[in-house]
Amino acid sequence: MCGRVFYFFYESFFMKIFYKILFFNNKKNIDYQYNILYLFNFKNLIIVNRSLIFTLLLICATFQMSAQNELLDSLQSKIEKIKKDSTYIAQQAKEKAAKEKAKPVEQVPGEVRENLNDALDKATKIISPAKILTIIIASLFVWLTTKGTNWMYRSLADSFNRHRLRILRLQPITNVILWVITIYVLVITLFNPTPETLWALMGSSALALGFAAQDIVKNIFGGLLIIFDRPFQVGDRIDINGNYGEVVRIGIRNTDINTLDDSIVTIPNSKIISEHISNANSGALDCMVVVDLWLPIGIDVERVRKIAFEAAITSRYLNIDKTVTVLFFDHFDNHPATNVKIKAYVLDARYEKGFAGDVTEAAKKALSEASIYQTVRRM
Amino acid sequence: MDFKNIFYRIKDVVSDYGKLTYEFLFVDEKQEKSVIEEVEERAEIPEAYLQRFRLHPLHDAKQLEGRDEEMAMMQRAYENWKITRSPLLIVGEFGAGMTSLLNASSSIYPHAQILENTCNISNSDELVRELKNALNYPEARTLKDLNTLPKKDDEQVVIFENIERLFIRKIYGFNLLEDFLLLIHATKKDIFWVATINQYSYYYLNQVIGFGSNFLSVIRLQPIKKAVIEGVINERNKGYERVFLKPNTLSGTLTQQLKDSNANKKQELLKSDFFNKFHAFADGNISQAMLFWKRSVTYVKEKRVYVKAYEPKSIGQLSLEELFVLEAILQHTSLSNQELYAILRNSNKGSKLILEKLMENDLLYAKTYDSQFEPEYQINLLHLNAVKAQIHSRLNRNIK
Repeated sequence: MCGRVFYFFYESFFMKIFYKILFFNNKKNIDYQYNILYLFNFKNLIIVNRSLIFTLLLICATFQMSAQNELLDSLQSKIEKIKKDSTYIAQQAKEKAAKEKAKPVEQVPGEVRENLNDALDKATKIISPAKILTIIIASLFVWLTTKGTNWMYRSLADSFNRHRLRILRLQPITNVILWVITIYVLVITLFNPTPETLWALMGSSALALGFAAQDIVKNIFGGLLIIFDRPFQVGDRIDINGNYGEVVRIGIRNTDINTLDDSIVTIPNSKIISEHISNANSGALDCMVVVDLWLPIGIDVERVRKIAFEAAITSRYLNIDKTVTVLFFDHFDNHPATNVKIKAYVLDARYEKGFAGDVTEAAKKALSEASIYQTVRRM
Repeated sequence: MDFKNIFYRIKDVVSDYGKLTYEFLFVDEKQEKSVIEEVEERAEIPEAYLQRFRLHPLHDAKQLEGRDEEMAMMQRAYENWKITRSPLLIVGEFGAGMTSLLNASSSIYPHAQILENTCNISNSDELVRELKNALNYPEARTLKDLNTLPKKDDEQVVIFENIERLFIRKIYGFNLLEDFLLLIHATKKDIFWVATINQYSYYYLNQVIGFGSNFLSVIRLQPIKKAVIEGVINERNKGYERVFLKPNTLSGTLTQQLKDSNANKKQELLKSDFFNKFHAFADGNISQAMLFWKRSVTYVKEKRVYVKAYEPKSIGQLSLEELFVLEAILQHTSLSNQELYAILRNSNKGSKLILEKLMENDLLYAKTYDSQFEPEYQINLLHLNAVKAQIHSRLNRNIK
């Protein structure tokens, strides 16, 4: 339910932003607005539910098609008008040329200078030092704010351990929202671009990005997919390409995993979305831990079961709300052996190894005291 | 674009942000420091007055208040036993008045034998020693002997208090409890067994070994009603006039209300504020209520008692190891250092060090039942709520 509400929020929020960027409430573009509304009404048909990007692409395509049709009509009418005016213009040009011949040569550099000054004025209006400084300060401020909110989320997660994962999963979403709002506000307030400029900018940027920054764009889209499609969240314990550990950060470009030997592995988001991901806890605080004990084939199963079961239920790390299972498997590969699997849930996924170690230690001690051989744990 | 405006706006936001960060970072630390440095000055309170609030089980059913429903349920369970032959389990919080309830149950079970287990029973010999007297079967040497008790004409009622004393959370530590449960099942036709357990042990044992399924009748002691607890406090203050003092921390509304009131109205407001805090702390637990009152009494002059609401000290953020120790003690009611060492599977010295630290922080107190044995450590009821909250939040245990 909360997921649906949130999804509705983010979908409508982003749609509104893009909608504003596209049209700026320009009444001339009312046809395009209808096109977009039409798309919104039939969003289920074009499966907007999961992929915001896909929807945006469709909006772009529809917009371009409508724009092209209108452009053709306007071009035809303009060509006819130009034909009519061309004769008049040619005549005027001839008269002007005749006058130009009489003009002194010294006036030409002056006009060039004027033109240059005009161009410079226009350019400085668009990109002024104040605007650049504003962008830098705003970016710095947002960067600091994201760092601050990240710290706040971590502090809250420490204080409310039971809701740790719920709190941490808000972290990447907040960061994305903050950046999107900042970019939107900066673009609108500082540059106030027309829809035509925006489309031209988007087209040229797409082309440039397509050639030069393909990997970065892939990572960013991967990051957005991870944040909104949520195959895993901050705090989950995942395994990607043999890198097993806790997700500590989901960034726009990379995701950081803290492995069991306490090293941070940074994986590009584009790699993550194309790989198989194994998630041990999927947003829950606890996770299942399987402890393997290797024992001789002729053991007293009843005694071993009791020891293995009690080793798990007496562990301080056990999640006592979930059941403990003890399973026996015989192996005859190289040396005949019985594999005892103790399946239990640890109270917090962070203590996974502590739990496995505690159970193994207790079981080993009890099995040794009962003269049932030594144990070997395989993870 | 007015660059100056942007600059001032950013400046304002940064200063707000800094202020918030400062408060978040340092204010708690300040408060903690003041708690550490605070020297509690308690005036001498006459022993005669304190005696009235001493925590001890009641022996007279007439004195027991607020447990009418539980008494009726015990009566019903006894009637049911005559048909179903199922034992009864009573689950309660520390200090909820379990022993007083059992003492009062003599009106329902006049010939009941009460086995009050104050310390842990570690082997079957100790258990047999206790049971053979209660069951009046002196020849019994083992639990097997007790399983085959000779049938008696009279119906027997045996109340086994603190059944959690029969287990210890270690490998093979459940054997004695399981044997005892087998004994209950073997003899329940002739004996009405009433066992009591604290709610943390019950929660643990129920989850890991399905303990509760051995009892068809389970009574959970409910928090005592506010009016009843207030009545008990009033009763014990009989002969004394109470004067409520301004607490150390006052809400803005109360401060304003006090400013605008006369002396009588002020007392009413302070009394109401005091009892709000009192009930929030006690939460229906009579022992905690008594402790709160005792801690709140600042001094007694002639027949006048001056009361200022007790403000519990923060126990701070406990370490994981400390929480594991406290949880183990809650599950067993009390533990000795040796037992704790066996439960936590750490070194003997390690567990002793944690115990000493917790004692220093007033979270535990040591109780010596027998001079031959080492002391057992129990949770200080004053900090029970705070400890429970941390165990619930940090160890994800569903206890409240």
